[in-house]
Amino acid sequence: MSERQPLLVIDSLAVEFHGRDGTTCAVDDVSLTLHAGEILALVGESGSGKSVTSLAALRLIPDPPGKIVSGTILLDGVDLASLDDRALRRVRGKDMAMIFQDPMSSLNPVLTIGQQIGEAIRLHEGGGDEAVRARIIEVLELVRIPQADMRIDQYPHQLSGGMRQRVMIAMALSCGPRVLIADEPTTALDVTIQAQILALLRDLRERLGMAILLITHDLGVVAENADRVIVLYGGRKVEQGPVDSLIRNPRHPYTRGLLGSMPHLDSALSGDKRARLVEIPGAVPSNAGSLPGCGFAARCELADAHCRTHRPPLTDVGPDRLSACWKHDQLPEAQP
Amino acid sequence: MTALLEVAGLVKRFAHSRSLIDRVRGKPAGAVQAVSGVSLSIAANETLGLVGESGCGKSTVGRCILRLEQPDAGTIRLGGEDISQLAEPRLRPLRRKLQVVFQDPFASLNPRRTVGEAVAEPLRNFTDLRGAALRDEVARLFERVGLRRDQIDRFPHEFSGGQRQRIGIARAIGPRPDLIILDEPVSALDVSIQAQVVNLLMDLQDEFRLSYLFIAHDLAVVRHISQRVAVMYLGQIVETGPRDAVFSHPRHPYTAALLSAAPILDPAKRNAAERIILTGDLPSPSNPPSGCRFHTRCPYAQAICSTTVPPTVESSPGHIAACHFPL
Repeated sequence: MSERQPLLVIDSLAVEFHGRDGTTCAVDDVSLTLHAGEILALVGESGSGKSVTSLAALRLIPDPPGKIVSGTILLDGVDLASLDDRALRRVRGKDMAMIFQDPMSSLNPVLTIGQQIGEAIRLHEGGGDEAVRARIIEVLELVRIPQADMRIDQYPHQLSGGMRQRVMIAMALSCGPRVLIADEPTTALDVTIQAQILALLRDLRERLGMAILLITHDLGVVAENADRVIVLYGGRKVEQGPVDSLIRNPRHPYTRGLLGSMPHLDSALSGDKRARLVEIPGAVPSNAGSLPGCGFAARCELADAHCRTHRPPLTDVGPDRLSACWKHDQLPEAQP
Repeated sequence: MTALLEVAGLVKRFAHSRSLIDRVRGKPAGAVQAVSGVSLSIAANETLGLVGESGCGKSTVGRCILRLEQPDAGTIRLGGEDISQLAEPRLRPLRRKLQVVFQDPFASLNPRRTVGEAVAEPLRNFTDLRGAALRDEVARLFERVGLRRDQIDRFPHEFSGGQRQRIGIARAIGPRPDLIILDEPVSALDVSIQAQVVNLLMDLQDEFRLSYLFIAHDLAVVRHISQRVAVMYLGQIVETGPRDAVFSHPRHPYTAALLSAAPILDPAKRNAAERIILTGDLPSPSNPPSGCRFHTRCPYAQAICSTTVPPTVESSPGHIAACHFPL
């Protein structure tokens, strides 16, 4: 990466949730940097801490039960922890915006999409009704919604799922944020619509130079859209690297397992035979974040006693590559 | 080879609800034709993958076969007998042969009953097992699907998504069915758990000689588990054939578009194929396009496509596409 100053820096973030059954460590010592014009993917399964990390970036963790126990979040050099609520509200939407998985439940069914997009514009930029309406139509056109001047007065139920996600993106873009956090933006969409939305996000990155933090469980989506990837497991960062290099040659057993357990359209299947998928045995332990050793040890073929008692540090394993595995040098080289 | 399941010309319409004013005025109710003339067959011990996007009618096909919906036209033959019009008392023995696993295992388990009871219920309905023998069989089923015997007295909320799906599978295989309709059985699961459940389904199929109708939107999973594949668009099957033929040489532009929309992991293979990105959304099934229903989104559509229903073309044995200009 260049020496440019990163737009968003998260350093040693730790988030805990306090419940009746004690304290759960949802995110444990996660750091990341995001540069302008870059798409960084946070990948992991349920409970990996990917969504909590992104919510923490906007300081949206509900407290209680959640709490950011340590770590700093710098947006353009400004520590978000030092801001009061009013200043934070100016950041949210204006500098950093977020889109969620399910556009239907994030849109208000009784307001037109124009009213909903206009709310943020009025709040952050002000302006008369005419100017706001013109700006709304502009952002609807930016996300390639046809007949924007007609759609602006429609309600969410009159739009298809793909169109609703475009509206969410339009809302996020309405005040020209420099960082867009996209939390599973295409998970609820069909593949052909997913392809359209991802193409739109890449296009917006090109045209606006926006930085995108893409949160997903789908390594296929990551492979085609991200520049760099961070793999999370049980609230900890287990691997990081440029996307092609990481997918070609994963240096953490969990990443390898994830890649192996994904059925591929381009994998070799011979004749009538059906191949078994590679399984990662077991499930994510609920206390992975508070284990003394490696969180993945219980499911890992290579794990030994040392792995279970000593937490592996993130180690340099190649150009821009990090892996938190004691045995990263024992993993066989790149898979075919 | 005679097919275990043979569906021909299946049609299912759903009426739109009318407002009170429209009803008073006597305005006729509109209808959505969710399934418009679907034919398919599944041989014993075979998996047919049924793919398509949301709203294409794939789940409705499954629900009609299960007779959870009453089809409006067409025949559904199971082991040679037409079951499409059977009434309730005669449906009962059929329900043993036909089982189902749904997408959301949590929604299909009663939260106030133990999972052991959930698995025991079909056994009590369809077998003579009672008491200790019944409990024993439930425990055996639990172990067969990778759960522990001592978990049968727990409640659904104590299980993870993958475990709940295993419970759903145990319940389905209990009465020794011939055919299981699997409606998006792994779409709600994490990737690493998905692989476990797909492998389990393939093992059980071999062990019990089951037939599967595997309904899903995920092409990669369908490719993995199916011997044959049918692709649905707006209530119709547009292409069907052996797995490798459909995935390696799709003849219908919609199949090709679906395949090219799926993300590819390997950067080396990514630019090899030209990507077709479909424009627009799925048209409304209550007012489907004329001629070929796909013509409004098809990159290769000609004038004839909007006026004439395309013929079906069999390019190799069993590989059939409904298109004027097959690829």
